[in-house]
Amino acid sequence: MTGAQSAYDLKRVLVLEDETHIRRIIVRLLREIGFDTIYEASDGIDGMKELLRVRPDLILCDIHMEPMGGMKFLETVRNLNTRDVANLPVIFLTADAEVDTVLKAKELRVDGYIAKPVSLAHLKIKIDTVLAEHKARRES
Amino acid sequence: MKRTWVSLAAFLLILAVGSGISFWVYQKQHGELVAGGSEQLAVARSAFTRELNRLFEPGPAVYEAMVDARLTARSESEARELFFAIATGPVLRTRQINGIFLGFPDGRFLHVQDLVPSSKSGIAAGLTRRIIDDPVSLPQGRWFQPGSGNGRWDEKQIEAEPYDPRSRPWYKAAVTSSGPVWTKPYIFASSGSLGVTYAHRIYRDDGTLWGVLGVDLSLASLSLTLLDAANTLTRFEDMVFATDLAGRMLAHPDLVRARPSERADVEAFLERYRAEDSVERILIEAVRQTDAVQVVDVGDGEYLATKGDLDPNLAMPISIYLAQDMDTILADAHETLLRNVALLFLAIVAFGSVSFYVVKLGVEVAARVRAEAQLVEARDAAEAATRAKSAFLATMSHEIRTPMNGVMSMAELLAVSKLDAEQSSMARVIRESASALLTIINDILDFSKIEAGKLDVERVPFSLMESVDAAAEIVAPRAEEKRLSLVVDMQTDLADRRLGDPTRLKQILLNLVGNAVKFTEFGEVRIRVRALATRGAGWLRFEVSDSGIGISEEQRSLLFQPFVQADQSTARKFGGTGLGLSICRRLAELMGGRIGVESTPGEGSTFWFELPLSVVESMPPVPPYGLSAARVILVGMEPEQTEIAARYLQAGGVSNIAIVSDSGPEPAPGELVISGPLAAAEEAERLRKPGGVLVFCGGREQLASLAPGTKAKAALLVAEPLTRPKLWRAVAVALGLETAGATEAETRPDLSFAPPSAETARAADALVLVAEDNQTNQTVIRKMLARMGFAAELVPDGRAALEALERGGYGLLLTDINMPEMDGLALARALRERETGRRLPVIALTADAMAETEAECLDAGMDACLTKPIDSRALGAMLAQYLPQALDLRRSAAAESRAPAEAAAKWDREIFDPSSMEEAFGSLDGEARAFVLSAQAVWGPRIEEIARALESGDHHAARNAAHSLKGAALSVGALRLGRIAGDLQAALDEKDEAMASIMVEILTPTLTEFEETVREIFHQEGHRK
Repeated sequence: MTGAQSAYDLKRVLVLEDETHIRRIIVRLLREIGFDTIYEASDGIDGMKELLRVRPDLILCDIHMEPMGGMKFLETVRNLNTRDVANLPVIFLTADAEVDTVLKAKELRVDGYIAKPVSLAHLKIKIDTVLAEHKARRES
Repeated sequence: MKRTWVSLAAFLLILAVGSGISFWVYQKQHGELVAGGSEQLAVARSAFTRELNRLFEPGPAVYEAMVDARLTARSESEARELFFAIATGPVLRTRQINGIFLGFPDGRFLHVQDLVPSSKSGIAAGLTRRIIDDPVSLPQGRWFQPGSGNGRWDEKQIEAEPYDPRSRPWYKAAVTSSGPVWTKPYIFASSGSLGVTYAHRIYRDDGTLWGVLGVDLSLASLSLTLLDAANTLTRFEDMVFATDLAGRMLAHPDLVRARPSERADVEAFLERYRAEDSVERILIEAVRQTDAVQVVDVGDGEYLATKGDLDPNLAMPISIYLAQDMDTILADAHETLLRNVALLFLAIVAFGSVSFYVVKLGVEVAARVRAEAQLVEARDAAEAATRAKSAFLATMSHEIRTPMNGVMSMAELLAVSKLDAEQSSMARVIRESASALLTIINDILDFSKIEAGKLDVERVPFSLMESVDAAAEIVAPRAEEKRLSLVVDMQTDLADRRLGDPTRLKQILLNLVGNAVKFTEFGEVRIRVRALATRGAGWLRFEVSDSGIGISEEQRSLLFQPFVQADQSTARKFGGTGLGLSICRRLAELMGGRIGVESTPGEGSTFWFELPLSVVESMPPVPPYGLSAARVILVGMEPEQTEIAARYLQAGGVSNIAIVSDSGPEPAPGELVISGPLAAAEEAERLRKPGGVLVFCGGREQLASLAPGTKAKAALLVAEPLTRPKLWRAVAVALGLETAGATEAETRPDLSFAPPSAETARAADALVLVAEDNQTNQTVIRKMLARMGFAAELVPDGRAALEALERGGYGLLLTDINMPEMDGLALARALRERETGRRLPVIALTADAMAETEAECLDAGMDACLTKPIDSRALGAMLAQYLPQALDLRRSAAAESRAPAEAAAKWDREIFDPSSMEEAFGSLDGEARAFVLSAQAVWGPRIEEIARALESGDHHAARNAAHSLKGAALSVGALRLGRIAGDLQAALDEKDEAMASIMVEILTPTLTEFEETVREIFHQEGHRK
């Protein structure tokens, strides 16, 4: 619909969220933004498999999930041997932002936060920012 | 009850105090009166004493004169002459003196008296002298009376007894006394009247007795004197009498008043006063011993009495008694006193009562004030509670409306997207439910606004016709669903430009028409608008009649009450909050009008309302083109509908109108044939002039179900309700003044567009910037704008909007009011501040329709306000007005309709990249598909093989199998499956078992994904072919 859309539809997004309906909404919003290929997982373990399977360009990840939460997932991702995969941009979806969480996530080089409930505009802006930064990092 | 006792007790207390004070005053007054009476009596006593002293004065006076005369007389004869001179002088003329005489020790006697007539004496009445100068030879003496000559006395021959003064009591008493003596009262021999004699001896120079002087004083004149004195003392009206020192009655005024016969015997007369029970006697006994004034009880009354003694040197030794009846003393005063006491009593009672009442009132007023204060408090609290409740409701309603708006808009968009029958039915249910819910919420919001006093009525110029038509258009689809005919019947000569609140007018109409549609099963719903000249200029009567179930009289009285529906059973059947009519009533009243209903159960109802909508321009609506040249044939409509259509056409200047009826002959053809659903298409076409225009009108469904061939013949399809603009446009089309195309899609033409690309819009300065933080609203607005053909960009707050605006290319800003970071008002102000060139139109999106909010928006530099939930028509109208440059950029949605197929064909090329197959087979034809399907059939077993090998620890076998899978997959185009197989191989090479097991695990879903994707693609491709 817009010029930017062509950039989105070539990218894969992985969404980790245990609440099914919230995941649906996020997927729906991502489609609104223009993403066509979206993969879903309901926890860190599932997410890890999907990550390895689909090699997404961007990961949106809830923090509180069972059995593996977002923080553990991020840690696992960052410790992967494959450098491209380990450095994938990860955005945390969070309803709260405790200092500990923020510090730990920062340590694990999280790429951004999006506050729940998620609004389309916020999501889009955050994704644009993260992707642009990631691209810049990779190119440098 | 308690209060009554208190009142009674207070009254009795007042009565007692009043009586007490009155009695005290009475006693005091009584005492004062008695004292006054006593004083008066004492005064009277001294007056009487003075008077009586004067009465007896002649005695001593004559004596002194005689003493002097003897001293000056050189001889006895000269002394005799002097005596006569004194005694016959003026002294004798005083009435109390009866006679003056002089007796000598040798028996001689000189006597002067004023004789009363007496037959016995044989002498004429009048002044008489008696001289006894030779007691021996002439003891009876000689008598003289005044003669005819001056100073001459003539001797008279009178038969008289001999008289020896020395034998008389007065002479004897005087001779033995050193001072003057007063005899006891006795009857005078000369006159026969009661009297006393004053006697005093006179001595020679040598001390020997010369003679005794006597003065007879009549006691009758004493009584007379007493009466005189009593009469003179005007305030003294009661009893006065005189006694001697022993208390014997001497004089009484009654004696004077008595008849002459009684008076004759004075002794006998006076005897009555000596009786034991006589008042006089009692009084005398009571006060004889004292000089004080006393109250004497005489048996049948009380007297105030006193006694006074005369000066014994001057007067006869008598006592004078004065007595006054207490009744008399008190009589006048008593009357006054009683009156005063009565008045006093009344005054005290009145004052007491008033005081008590005042106190009681004060207490009650205080209680009342307290109660009122409590009431006011309670009322304030209640009002505050009501306001809080209303505010809460408003907030809640708003909170509910936002998501509801999302649900509705999405359901609407969903309904028009590609759905199968079941899905679209579900979408419709969602939309209708949401719509019903939204109506209820809007009702509650409105009602709470009214309750909170926040509902304002505007007074702006508006078009009456447009408002009524618009309301009808909104309800038309619902009416049509129920196969009801919706008729707009407006008086055509009504002034169109009015002053009022079009939104609220429409709201009432929508509510009433909506109800009418809801409660009517067959027939029609009619909106009638007429001038109401009886109420005055500008007054209009709106009627909404239906042929529905009607409302009974008792139901009618409840109708306009909040939360009440006419019939609980209908409430169950039709739903609704029951607030609608209540809101209508309040709105009508707010606009200065009234609302009501007339109904016959079973036949239908007519809801009406009357409003004063003052006329801005007296012109009725007229078409923008001259239509007089047209000849219009009306056919196939209900007679009433035909009549209204004809009237509307006439109002537009069309005079040549022919109506086809069953009975009449077929009219000559015309330029325009307007055909209702009742006429056959052939008949309609026959009536059309060559080159003329055929227009079909009726319900949308009827129009939609017209045979394609018939539809093609129509230049225009006009959906009900028939309104003046629609009819006039039809005529204009027939006359070639207007093209039919512009109105081709009566149903929401504005939603049949696709937006240009953002770049195109930006290049034309036609991009819409939307600042809205709520995600649902974002989606709604985005979709809405897209369907109307406008490209938009969304930002979450004011700050982001300002940044975006820097980039330029925007033609309009739609902004929410409440946003984080920077709200809509701040955004508008900031924008206006930094704006240099073209002014960017800014439209606010507000959640509440409060007038003050709108004013705030306009103050902040905005151009207009839209209320959420956003009405797409209103938004469309705003965009057309403020963003005209974007209209040409809109693309027809029909041109875009091919897109969905392509979109559906999109899939992740990593799952399946058909390029290698297309390369190998030329295209993804049957052969290619068969190849792909046969290839994938062996991958499942291959994956199982890998898993088993790994489980048994045979890493080598697993590695080989993975390698084989990788090659097969990549060659078919299953890039992801191939890559994962490759990763597995690499993990096994690196002895990373954990990674390897994960990889094995994810091979199966990846294969499934491939199979599904391929099936989908092949299925769609098959359809397309």
